[in-house]
Amino acid sequence: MRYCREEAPSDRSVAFAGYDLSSSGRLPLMREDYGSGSRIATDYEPFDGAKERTRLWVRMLVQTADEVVMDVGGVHAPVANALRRIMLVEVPTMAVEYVTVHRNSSILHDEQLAHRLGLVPVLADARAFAERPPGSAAATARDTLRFRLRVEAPSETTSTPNGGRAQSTAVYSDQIEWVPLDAAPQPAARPRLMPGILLAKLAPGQAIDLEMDAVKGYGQEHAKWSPVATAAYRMAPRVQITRDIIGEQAQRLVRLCPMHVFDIEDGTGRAVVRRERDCTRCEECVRVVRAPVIDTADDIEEDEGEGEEEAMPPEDAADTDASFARSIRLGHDPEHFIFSVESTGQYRADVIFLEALHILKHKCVRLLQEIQRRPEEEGFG
Amino acid sequence: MTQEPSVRASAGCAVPRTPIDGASDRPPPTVHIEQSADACQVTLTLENEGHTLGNVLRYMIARDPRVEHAGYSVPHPSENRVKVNVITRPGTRALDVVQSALANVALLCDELSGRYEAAASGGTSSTCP
Repeated sequence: MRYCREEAPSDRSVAFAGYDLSSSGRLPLMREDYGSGSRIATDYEPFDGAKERTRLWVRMLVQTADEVVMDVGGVHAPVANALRRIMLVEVPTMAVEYVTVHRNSSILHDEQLAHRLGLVPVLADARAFAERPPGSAAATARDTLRFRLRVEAPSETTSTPNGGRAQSTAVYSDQIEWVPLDAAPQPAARPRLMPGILLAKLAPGQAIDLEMDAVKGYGQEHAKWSPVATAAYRMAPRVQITRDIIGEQAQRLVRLCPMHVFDIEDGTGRAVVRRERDCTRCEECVRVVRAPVIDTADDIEEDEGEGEEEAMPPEDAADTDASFARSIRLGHDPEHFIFSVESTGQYRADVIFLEALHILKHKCVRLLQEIQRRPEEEGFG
Repeated sequence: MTQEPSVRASAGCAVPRTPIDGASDRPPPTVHIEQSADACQVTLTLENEGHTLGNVLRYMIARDPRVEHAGYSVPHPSENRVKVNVITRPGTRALDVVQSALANVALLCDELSGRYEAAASGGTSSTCP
């Protein structure tokens, strides 16, 4: 496999004033082993279906209704990124889009209340619905779920222990009821909105009476249609100890890492990489802290040229006083992604990634069909 | 670390694992194709698509050894449109390369779906290192 090699920029030590990352002549990242992550497409080998098949692997780490964390291996960043982007904005869900306010005497303005209603997850499978044509007044059971909210706070002001002040009445999403449209067959599970979400508080005598239509939509248009709270990936970190770190130094290394990546091997006292996955590549372990340079007023002028070099640790002292820059190499595996997907409730979290794959495939297949359907096209010009 | 689905699973609707054909009611893709006289250069303009498809398509096209150059751009951020440009070596039709790249991405999605479903249903996912 070919990777894009990158030379360490010479001005790196300037960019990270106070740290010297280039004392070894290059960045202490395993760029030449694992790639910088910024590969160009020609660095990948030609696509071969059979070979690709053997490379792919998936491992579930967390699988609950709300959250999925998994390893996806053998894919490259453009594919992982396309899937992430699709999960965020292209997996359809149902969300409240049209609100008809019959009565609203609460302190919330109509539009504010409608906005809040829009953000409440609608627990229905949008894939079973059609898109409602924009501007169409006629809602059908095929493209719309209608809900109604009718609440009224009791009007009499009963005296309460806290000085006669009336209690407010909380309105929760549980109070929203589904209204069947036309003669649609009753579904097994009544469609509903995510329960337990506070919508408004009513003072005595105030009332809300409104109808809302939930329609199918995509996160591209508004985030209320996004099925995920987060869908993100990171490349799996790789940490290598290239030279033995023993005894006192090993203990110092273990203390140095804020993520507790390193441990000491029993018996040998050697530092080993124990929790590679936890590495955030903060580079604390490979940081070289320069001795502070105290300039006196007289020195400033003559120091200007050479000051930097003097401040750097001598070549052979690297691992003894300050840093493990020459003993540890940090990098990441560009073909191993750790995905984390959190559902907002419309779908089980483990369905969303699968749906994204399905959508990406469909995009390609339909585009392919469209190209094949075309006669020979016009030329440039 | 794998946990049983929590109670919230039943709080949601019953969602089948296998996707219902959700993409089918989307309008058909709009694509404008410009080709050079020798068919070695092609520019596709895809409406209602962006970096999501553009980048993955460029990546797959560029993996084809017959390709000299592959690039994509979103000409204006407020227009939902992406242009994919391909130049192939002499003797290869650029549009053929695009078509095989599209098929390859679809194949990759299928393979990954299979792996994912195996892993999600608790089976052996495959040859993980």
